[in-house]
Amino acid sequence: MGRPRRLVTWVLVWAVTVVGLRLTLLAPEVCPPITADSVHRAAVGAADWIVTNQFDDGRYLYDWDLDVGGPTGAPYNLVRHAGTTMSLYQFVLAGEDRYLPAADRALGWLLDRQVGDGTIAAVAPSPTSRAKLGTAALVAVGLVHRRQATGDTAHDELLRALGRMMVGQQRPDGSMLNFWDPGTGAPVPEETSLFATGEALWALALLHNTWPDEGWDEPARRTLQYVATVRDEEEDVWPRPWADQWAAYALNEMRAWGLSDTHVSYARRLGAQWGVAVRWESQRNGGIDGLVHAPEPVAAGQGTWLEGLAMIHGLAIADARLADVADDLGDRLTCGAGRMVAKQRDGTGDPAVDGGFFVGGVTRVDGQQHVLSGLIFTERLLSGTGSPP
Amino acid sequence: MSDWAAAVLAMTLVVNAPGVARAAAWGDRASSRWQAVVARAVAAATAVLVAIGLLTGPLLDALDLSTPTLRLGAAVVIGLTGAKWFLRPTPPIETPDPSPEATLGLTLLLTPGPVLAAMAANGDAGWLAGVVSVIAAMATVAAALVVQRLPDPVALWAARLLGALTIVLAVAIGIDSARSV
Repeated sequence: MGRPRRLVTWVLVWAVTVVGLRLTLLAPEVCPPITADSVHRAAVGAADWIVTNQFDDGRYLYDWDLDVGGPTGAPYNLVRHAGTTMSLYQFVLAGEDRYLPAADRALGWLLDRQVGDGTIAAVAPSPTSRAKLGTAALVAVGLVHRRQATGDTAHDELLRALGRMMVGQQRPDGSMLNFWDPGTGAPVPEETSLFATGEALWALALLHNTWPDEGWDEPARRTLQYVATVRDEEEDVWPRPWADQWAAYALNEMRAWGLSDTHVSYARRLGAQWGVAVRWESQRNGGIDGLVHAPEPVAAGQGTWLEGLAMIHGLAIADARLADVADDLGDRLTCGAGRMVAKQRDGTGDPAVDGGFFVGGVTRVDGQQHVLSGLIFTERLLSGTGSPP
Repeated sequence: MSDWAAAVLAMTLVVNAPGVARAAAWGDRASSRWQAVVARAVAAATAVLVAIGLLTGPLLDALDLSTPTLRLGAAVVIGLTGAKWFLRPTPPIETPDPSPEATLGLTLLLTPGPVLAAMAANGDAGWLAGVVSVIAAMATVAAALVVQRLPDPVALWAARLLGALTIVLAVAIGIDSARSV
C-alpha cells in the first residue's frame, strides 16, 4: 500500500475547517451567567452613574473619557437628556423611588426650555431654536411613566400639548417631520428623522393607553403602518428593517390593539436583527474572534438591543403568532444583559467611572440610559415578574 | 420552504451523488465486490452522519453555540463545498488509497459539507428530519455509485450543476440565519 495521500488531505481539510470555523463564525457565544439580583445591581450602578454625576441644574454629565480623565467636549444633546430622564422614570416605575428626585430635576431642566404656541408644546435649546420631535416624544414618554409610577396628574395638560405637537408633525402617510419652528409656529417641511418617528410612535401609543377615548390611536396606527412598511426604504437604510427599538416599544405598547400580520412580521424581523447582533457580539471575546467580530458597538447601541429584545419578547409572550421565537428572544436578552453586566466598570471609587459602560475608553450618558432600560426588563424576565408593562 | 424540505434538499445537494459516483471511477459497477464496498462505505458514512446529527444539541451546548449561529457556519461550509464541486469537481479516481472503503466513505462522503449539513438539519428541523435527510441523501449516493454509467462529460456537468445549486441553497441558508433570532 502506498502513502495514503487522500486520507492525509482529508484530515487536513477537516483540520482547517474546524480550526477556521472555531476562530471565526463558530467562535463560542459567551453569555456570562446572571440572576435577577445581579441584573438589578447593575441597573442600580448605571442609574447611580447618571444621578451621581448630575449637575445641580438637572443636566447630566454627558460623557467621560478615561484617557483624558474628563469629558470629551462633545456638545450636550437635548434628545439624549430627555431619553435618559425617561429611563430614570422607567426605573422609578419599576419600584426604585429613590431616583425620582433626580429625574424630576432633569425634567425641570427640560421644561425650562419649553416652547409652543399655547396649543402645542415642545422643548428646544432656546426660545428661537427649532424643537425636535424626538425630544418632545421622549419627554412625553417620561411623563407617562412618571404618571404611572406616582399617580401625579399635574403634567396631564402638558402631555396632551406634547401629543398635539407630535400629531401636528405627522404627514398623511404616517411619516413624521423632525422639527417644529417657533419662528413660524409650524413644522419644518421635508425634514424627517430615522430616530424620532419611532419615538413619537411610542409616545402616541402610550397616550392612547393612558386616555383611550381621546383618539391618539389613529395617528399611532398610521405611523406604525408607515414604519412597518415603507419607512426604511424612504430613509434609505440598510440592512432592513432598521433596528428601531423605539418601534419595538411601540409594538409592545400596542399589543392589545389588534396588530396586523404585517406588524407582527415586522416585529419578528426586528427581533431577529437584535438576536443576530447579540449572537455576533457574544462571539467577540478577544484573540482572532475579537478581530473577526470587531468593532464593538457603543454601549448605547448594545443597550438598545436589550430594549428591543425585551419588547419583542414581551410581544411574543402575548401574541401567539410570535410564540415560536419567544424562548430564543429571552435567551438573547439574558445573554446580552449578562455581557453588559460583565462589562460594567466598578470598584474604582471614581463616580465618573463606576457603573459606566465604556467602549474604547469612552462612555456617554445614553450608554447608561439604554443599558439601564434593558436591564430593567431583563430583571423582570429573570424574576418571573413577566413581560414588560 | 419548510425546515424538513430544506434539510433534505441541503443534504441531497451537498453530497453530490453524480460527482461522487464520477470520482469513484475505480469501481466495477456490475461486480458484487463493488456493491459490497458501496454498501459498507455508505452505511458507515450514514451511521456517522446520523450519530453526529443526533449529537448536535449536546455539541452546541458544549461549544457554546446557538442553532442559528451553527446554521450560518454550515451555510458557509455548504457553500464552499458547492463551489468546490462547481469549480473543481473531484476527478475520477482510478486507484483508491488507503482502501476503497476509506476513499469512498471518508474522503468522498464524510467531508465537512455533509457533516455540517447534518448538524444544521438536526438543529433546525429536529432529529427525525436530520435522520431522514441523511438517509435520503445517502440513498441517492448509493444508487449513483451502483447504477451510474453516465458518459464522463455528462457526469461532470451534472456534478457542476448540483454544485451550483448547492451554492444557491447555501446563500439562502445564510440569509435565513441572518434573519433568525
